[in-house]
Amino acid sequence: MKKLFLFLFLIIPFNVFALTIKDDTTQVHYIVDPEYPPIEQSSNFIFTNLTQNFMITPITYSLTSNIKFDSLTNKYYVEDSKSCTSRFYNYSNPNHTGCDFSNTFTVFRGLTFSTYIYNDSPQTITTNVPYSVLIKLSKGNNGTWHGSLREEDFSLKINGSYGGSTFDLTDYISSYSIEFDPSLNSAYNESSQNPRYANSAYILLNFEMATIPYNSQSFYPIFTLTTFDYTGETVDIDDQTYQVVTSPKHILDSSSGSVQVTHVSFLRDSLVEVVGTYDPLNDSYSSGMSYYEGLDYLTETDEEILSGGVEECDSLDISCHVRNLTKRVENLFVRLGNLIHSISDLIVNGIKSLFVPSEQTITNFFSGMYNSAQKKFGLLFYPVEVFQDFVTRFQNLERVSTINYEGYTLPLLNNNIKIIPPIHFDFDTYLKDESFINYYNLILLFTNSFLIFGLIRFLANFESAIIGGEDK
Amino acid sequence: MIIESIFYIIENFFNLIFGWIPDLPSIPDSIRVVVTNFFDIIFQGMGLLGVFFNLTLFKLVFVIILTCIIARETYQIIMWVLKKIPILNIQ
Repeated sequence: MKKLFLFLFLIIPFNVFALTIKDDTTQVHYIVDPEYPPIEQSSNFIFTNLTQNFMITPITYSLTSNIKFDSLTNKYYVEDSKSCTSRFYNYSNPNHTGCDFSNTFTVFRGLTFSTYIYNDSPQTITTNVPYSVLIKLSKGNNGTWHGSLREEDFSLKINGSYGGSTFDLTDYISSYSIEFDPSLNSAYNESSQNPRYANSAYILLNFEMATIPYNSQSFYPIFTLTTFDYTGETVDIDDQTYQVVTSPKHILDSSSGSVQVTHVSFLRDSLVEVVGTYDPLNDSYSSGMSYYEGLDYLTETDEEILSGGVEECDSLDISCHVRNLTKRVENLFVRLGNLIHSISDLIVNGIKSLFVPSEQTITNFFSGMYNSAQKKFGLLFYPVEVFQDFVTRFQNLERVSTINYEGYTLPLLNNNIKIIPPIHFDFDTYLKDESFINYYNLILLFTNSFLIFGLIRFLANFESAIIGGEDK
Repeated sequence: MIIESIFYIIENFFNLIFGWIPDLPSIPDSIRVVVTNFFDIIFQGMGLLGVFFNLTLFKLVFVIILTCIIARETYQIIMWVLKKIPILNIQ
């Protein structure tokens, strides 16, 4: 029993400590809710179903804008950078708008949310709970996903959130930075009956963000305001110009419910298409508006590769035909080389995914075990928490070189008698004295030696205890 | 994927074993506050140790000693369990 206690007391908190101090990422469980409609047709955020007791406040939104090459999917993708200005949202005002995200991106790499609070009454509010965020992800699709992509494969990480302070009117409360792994968040849909979606790879993400329930109706969610216009950008990749055509669309419903923030992003292997608009509120689909973004996939067909550099030849120009044949053979080997390269990449990545756990796996495991044990054992688990607290504090221990004591004054018969005078001591000022530094270094040398020899002595005893057979 | 599966099994095994036990109440906040305040006082004072000790070395020694103790206790726990299995015949 003693050993079991020691095990619980030492092993679990140490492991949790060792793993959690490296990464204080807030873990979020995400759920796939089939109730949310698949809205492949939209490419925007949609705010619907607002709940009064929730503060759903994607106030800013930003992405980095880069054209990058993803070796996993062997495709280029676009990271866009946009942000929205904010406005207050009021339930009673039906003429509100959400945030338009024009120039949306083709592969969703991540986003940053900042949350604000708006206090309707001019008073300071105090929160004593962290503003954690709940995020729901769901995948909308009409066809069958190719491969083994599952809902839980969506990669989601919230880098941080904080709260627990006093906030004034419209004070900043918390910020979330969410990252997605495009290799997980993209999929290939080859079975769709709709030709618009056939042979197209895209990602579909439905977000539902909700902060903790708040009981006061004075607090309104704040939404972002439309700031973008339709834009058409061109990007140059490998000496070729591609056009990114995007168009925003937003739908906002204040009628009831919680806020649903939905984003759907597409990556198309065809040129820009003009498609209709989808209205999830009325579940209607209309054509004639072009708000669908698309990007040339930046991949070439086999025929394009094979015919690269091939000249137009006269039928009697034999040398030209020979050159073309040589060029085609050369292109063929280039194509084969690319194929072999992609196959080797696939094999390496497959083996890696089989044996190497993801970055968060071990952290999640120990955090999950810790939370489960904490919930289950309650006060019996408290010694473990204390130990963890001790170790954490010890690890964060920093040198204190100043002492500021205001002294103690005893009030006696209308006279204040100073019992202990104030003490203000700053050790660092002494370190400016070179002669003192020499003495101080001697002291440190002695204490360091004391620690090291103590450690050696401990290890020697430890080793002799093991070798000596005590730990059979 | 393999290691993740092992973790998944361990976690579910833990939940299966202890799932039938009702959740015990947590420690009262008053006690928690007292302990926290106590630690605050202690560790504010421990900061002064940095004047006389190299804190980096101090933490390193602490971690090494703690690791050794944990490793030893883990080994003993495992051996204690294994010795209870007659078929292994571990003395």
